[in-house]
Amino acid sequence: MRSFAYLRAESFPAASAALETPESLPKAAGTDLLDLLKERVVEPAALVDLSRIERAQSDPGVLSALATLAELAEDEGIRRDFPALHAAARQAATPQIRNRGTLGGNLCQVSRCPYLRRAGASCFKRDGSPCGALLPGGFDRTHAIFDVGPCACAHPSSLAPALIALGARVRLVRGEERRVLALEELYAPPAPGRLGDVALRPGELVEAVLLEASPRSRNSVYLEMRERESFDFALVSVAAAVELREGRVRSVRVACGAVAPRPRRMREVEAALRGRPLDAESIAGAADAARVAARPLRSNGFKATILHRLCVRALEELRQ
Amino acid sequence: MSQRTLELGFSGHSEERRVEVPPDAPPPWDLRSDLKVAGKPHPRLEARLKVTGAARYTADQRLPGMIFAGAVRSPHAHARVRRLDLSRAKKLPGVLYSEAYPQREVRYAGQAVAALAAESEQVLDDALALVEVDYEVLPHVVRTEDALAEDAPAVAGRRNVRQGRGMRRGSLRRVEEAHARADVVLTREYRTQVQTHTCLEPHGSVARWEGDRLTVWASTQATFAFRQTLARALGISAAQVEVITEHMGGGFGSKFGADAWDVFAARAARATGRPCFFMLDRRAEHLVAGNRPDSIQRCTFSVRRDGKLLGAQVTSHGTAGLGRGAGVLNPAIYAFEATYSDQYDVLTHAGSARAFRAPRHPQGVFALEGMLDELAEAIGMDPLELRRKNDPHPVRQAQYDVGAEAIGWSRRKPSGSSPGPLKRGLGVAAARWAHNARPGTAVRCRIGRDGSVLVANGSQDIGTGTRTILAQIVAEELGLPLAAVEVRLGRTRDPYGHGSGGSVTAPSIAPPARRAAYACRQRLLAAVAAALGCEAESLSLREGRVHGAERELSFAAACGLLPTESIEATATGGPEDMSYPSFTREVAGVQFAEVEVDAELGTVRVVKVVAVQDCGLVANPLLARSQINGGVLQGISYALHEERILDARTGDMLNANLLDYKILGAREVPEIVAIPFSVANGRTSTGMSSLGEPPTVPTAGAVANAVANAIGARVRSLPITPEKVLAAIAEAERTRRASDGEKKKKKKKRIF
Repeated sequence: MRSFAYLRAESFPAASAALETPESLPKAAGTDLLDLLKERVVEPAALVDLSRIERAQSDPGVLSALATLAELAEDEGIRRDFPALHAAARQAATPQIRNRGTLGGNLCQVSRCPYLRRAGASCFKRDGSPCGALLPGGFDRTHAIFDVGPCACAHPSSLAPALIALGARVRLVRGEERRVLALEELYAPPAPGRLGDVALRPGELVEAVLLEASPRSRNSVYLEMRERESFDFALVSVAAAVELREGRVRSVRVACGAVAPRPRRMREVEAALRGRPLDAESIAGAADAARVAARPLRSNGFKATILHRLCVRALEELRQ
Repeated sequence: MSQRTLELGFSGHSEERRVEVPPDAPPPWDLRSDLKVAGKPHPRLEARLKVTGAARYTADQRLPGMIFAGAVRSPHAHARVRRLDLSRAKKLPGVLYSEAYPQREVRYAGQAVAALAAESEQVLDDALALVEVDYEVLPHVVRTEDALAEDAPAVAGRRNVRQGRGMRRGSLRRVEEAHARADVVLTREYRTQVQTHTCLEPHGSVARWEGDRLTVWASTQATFAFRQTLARALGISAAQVEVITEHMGGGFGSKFGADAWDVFAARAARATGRPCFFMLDRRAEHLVAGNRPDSIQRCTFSVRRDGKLLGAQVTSHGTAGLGRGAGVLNPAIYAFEATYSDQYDVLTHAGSARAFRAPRHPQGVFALEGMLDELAEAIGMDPLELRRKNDPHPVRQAQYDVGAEAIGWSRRKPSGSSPGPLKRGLGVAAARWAHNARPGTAVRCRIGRDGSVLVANGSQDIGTGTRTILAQIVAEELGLPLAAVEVRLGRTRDPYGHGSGGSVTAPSIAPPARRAAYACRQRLLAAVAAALGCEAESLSLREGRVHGAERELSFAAACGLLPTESIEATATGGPEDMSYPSFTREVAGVQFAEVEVDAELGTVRVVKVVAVQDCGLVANPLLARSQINGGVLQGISYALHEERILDARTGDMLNANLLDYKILGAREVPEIVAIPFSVANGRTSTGMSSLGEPPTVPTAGAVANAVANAIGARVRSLPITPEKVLAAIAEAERTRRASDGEKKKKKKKRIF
């Protein structure tokens, strides 16, 4: 890896200021960043270490971006009020990575696309060259089935779909400035030079995730399909949260991971359910709606099938 | 020569055999031998060192002043090197040695074009990035199917498709005649993938010169071959080289000699006067250090309605990259009336294959056992029954019973009848191997006047437990507890031993170890006979004591009577203890698998594997089970996960790491019932059979058959991934619907 300056930040504003230096990158746990550095996929001049930042007093509705996945998975309040988040955090990566890896790092992580992760390979996001997965003979099996433009990356975060289904917002910090966004608005379409798919301004960082417990958040679920139970990324993940009143769907949020360049809010699924009884018929209709907009690539049509079936399973679990 | 009657075979199936035992050799162990240490479940001697991290592997070596080496590798599968410039890299402070390989062409991604050695790993990494290479990219082909095309780029010479000697076997005419007599003839295509060895410890070595003598710590499964190939490459005599392999982090057939990087390390160490460390990184490990070839097997098999197997015809194409040896081995297990196989290597621009744990077998058995199940299904016979009817091996016949009982074969339901989305299924497959005891291994045994016992051999313990087995054999022969014997392995200054290939190590090293100990024992008894007042022939050594007719002595006291500081004997495995008539000619194994398939998502979970494996006489049940467990795990990993993925456009490997190249992990481990099946085959004085490779042979076949039983549809391609499972189910449903439609039409016809 290229040599870099190492800066340890004491606070988010200080980290944010340090990140104004060109060619700098933030590092939380560094579980993935270190691999990207070794592969020379990123070659920053400076790393700003966030891991020593003192965390603010915890408020049940405010999750620090520096909370580890293990902390989220073990939190009783999260298990009770946000079961989808609990399930996503519990299944992520490996015990070692969950002990170090952070919420913010999970949300801002870089796609697992092998072209993106190989210095020298053709990649739209690294340098604007054609997406290797979309070129003739390219490997597209694990890639997106929705919204494929010049890049076929699938977004790898498992916490993002769970949190989107839970209606989470993110608080961003830049210097002394703060702003709050709906989580789905954190993500931006693939663009050259932006590996992480997040619409952060220079020096801006995710500081916290804001959640509100509700009957809907308590009736939430996260399911994922992956090839290996021991350390793997999901090929498809589905998160759903449903509030039922008098047997009908009063409010619903559904999101999917690993199927599009960004974590994808499934508005077509929500529309198919809203106001209807949550029964086998409406669930079948909603699952059908989930794949209407899917446009699989040469070898990943099976992801649309799996998405359909995971949607059925997720919604079946919420029938009560 | 003395005459002996041995009882050979296995429990419930034995026979007596008269043999002649040479005067200086111990009589072979058989079913009647009452062994105290050998054959017992002693934990591996270095177990504590390994689990605590105290065992020092080659990759752990850190010598004073050591420098680090690495290579610049081509990212292109086929390219002409127009320019290669090391000048910037060499100017970097701390870069100490370099070599350029100005070959005209690179022919696979990963091929080295230059190598460097530097003060530290960081300097090395920076320097490698400064090497400038200008490639002119040339047409390439990396996929077997693409290389078969008429207009495919030629990889070497004119034709990509080659047939070596011995790759066409049997008689096509006789097979066709057999097919003609059959009730069912099926033609199917089976495919397997390229699997990389993925040794946990990468390839490589650490070289240190002292004057004109070279010491090399090597991660090798063949210390002596390593010494030979390295010495030859350096133009020095093997006697100047000492190879040390204290512990070995996996070889699986890919570490049989010194490689280019080992030669570089030795040259860099000589040029700089400092020890040099060169271990491959994980990417290079996948690209350049060998693999198991893939295969496309076109099979036509036939059977009579009563279950008699008739013809087996296999045409296979596979790629060993730039190398050779992509054939498959299949119909040899069952007694077909006629077999014919026609095998072709397909050259591609990819790293060469190397021997990989039971080369040719797992891929062949996957197709063979799949075909057997398909034939059984076609004639409506239980698949296990079909195997029993056609298997001539007495040991496997017994293993079918043991395994069927352990897995609960009677629970097996007709294929596809499991209800609900989670479907269970059972499958069976078999393996054969040869009794590979090779003469030529030498073992030295020394008993000191202080009562110490040392046994030494220069070959390596690849991880199978050779060190422990040697101690057990010698302790048994000397009537001592295991702890009384010290073993030294893995130093080429000690007597010769073979490379660990073909599962030869334990069967080949045990007989000379026993005979060396036997010789020491005879001399010890002769030395103390007078003190005990009787003839040496009437003395015995057991439980740590020398027993005479009236008096006895502790082993240590007996050693104290030795006239010299120590007694020593070296024995070499040869006809005197390795060529008795044997009970069977082949090592037999049977495996049963139970799987659970999520038929909606396509995921497969292996629930249980029962592996019944012929071990000859079991050297150590713990070690034997460990070998079987390892073979089964590697087999499941091959069946469900592992696959080298090359980008067709660039020829580069896309999953050259340990996340995307999926090896089975802890949570994929099923319940494994490893059953070491003891058979006294009598061939050698110690009776151990080959065990390293056979347990990985049938696993993929058994798992695939269990999947087919679960879902009522067959995946004929490895690895069995979710999309293949879903596609097979969808295809079966289409066929069923079409045939239901046909039936309805017929009904309608009848009505109208």
